[in-house]
Amino acid sequence: MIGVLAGLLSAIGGGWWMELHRSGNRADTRRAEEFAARGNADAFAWLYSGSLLRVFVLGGLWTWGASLAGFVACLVLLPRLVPLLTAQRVGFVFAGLLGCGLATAYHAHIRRRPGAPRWAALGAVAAIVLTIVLRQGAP
Amino acid sequence: MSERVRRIDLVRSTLSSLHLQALLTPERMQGPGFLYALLPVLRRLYPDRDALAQAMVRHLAYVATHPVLAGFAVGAAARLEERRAAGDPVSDDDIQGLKRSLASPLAALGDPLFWLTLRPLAGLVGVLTMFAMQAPMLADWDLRVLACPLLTLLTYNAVALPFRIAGVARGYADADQPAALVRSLRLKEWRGALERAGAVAFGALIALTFLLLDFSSVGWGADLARRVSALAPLLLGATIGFVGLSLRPGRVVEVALLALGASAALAAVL
Repeated sequence: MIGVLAGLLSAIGGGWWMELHRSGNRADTRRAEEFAARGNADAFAWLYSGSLLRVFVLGGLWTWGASLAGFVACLVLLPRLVPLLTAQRVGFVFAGLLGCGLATAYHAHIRRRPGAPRWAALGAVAAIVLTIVLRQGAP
Repeated sequence: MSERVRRIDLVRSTLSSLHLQALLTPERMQGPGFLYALLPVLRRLYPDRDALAQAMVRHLAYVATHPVLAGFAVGAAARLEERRAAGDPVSDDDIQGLKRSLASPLAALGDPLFWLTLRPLAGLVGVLTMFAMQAPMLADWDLRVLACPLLTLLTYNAVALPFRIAGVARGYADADQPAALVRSLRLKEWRGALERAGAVAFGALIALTFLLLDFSSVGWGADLARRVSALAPLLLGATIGFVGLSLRPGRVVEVALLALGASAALAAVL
């Protein structure tokens, strides 16, 4: 639960974090206009490489930062939540998230796509047949 | 007589076009990235600094297209710049018109193909692999944690990367027929095929999910009502996901957080 929560929160926080990059972009674009007007291709290329580096540095920092935040959340929150975290409750929340994930996949792959239910049924049948065959072959 | 564009310039442009969105702003969108991708060609064609400055300003202007398909527009613009540098009567409007005539349809066809179809499909392939693979272990580490995201990236790039690699050279070769160039990419056919693949993968996901559901806490002998009640949290999450995405398309993270919060709140009172 904490892992999923940390992932979701970091995805939202990532948008705010990248605002740093966007404000950097606005400043760099103004400088790019000046370099272009002077025909200074080298300076423009360096400026662009710098913003490319910023994308990776900020993105990389956030990726590690969010993972670290999730880890800290586990260390801090889990011991306090022990009385609440029964297997049934965790299973309930996991099932809720799974249902949400399936609905999201339905939105992406089936809804408003002609013929998609037929192909989905084909995929389901194939998965069931494969599972049965593989289970029969298992030692 | 100005120089002609060389193959190495197109290769450099292709590599630069991979970084098209590093300097993305709402005012110019991919304009700076477009100029960065075209820079090796402009440097070759315009040794004179004033002419280079005019060309750079020309291509720093607003451009909005799909990043995977942008190379085709970059290549076509390179061809027109070459003609202009050679003295052909090619105006600023001709170049901007060609960029617009390629960039807009490529964006319109590329967004539903890559963002709405291929990207979710790639994610689904990673999830299905998690289901299908036996867990290979290295010490105590489950290697699926690395293999499945890697497979997602490979799936996406297996389709997207050939477009990115071929884009500049194809755009340069077919700059005279932008409409035929866009048609020849068969993006609608690609989208249809990937939509069908996505639907098949979704069906497999649903089947595998229900095959793996464990009703042992309810008991196989339990009556139908108890079994349905065991599915209640799944249905709750699915309802929140469906209604949430219908009302707020694209807000996947927020909808998932809502499902998490609602499930947690209900679980707490049960």
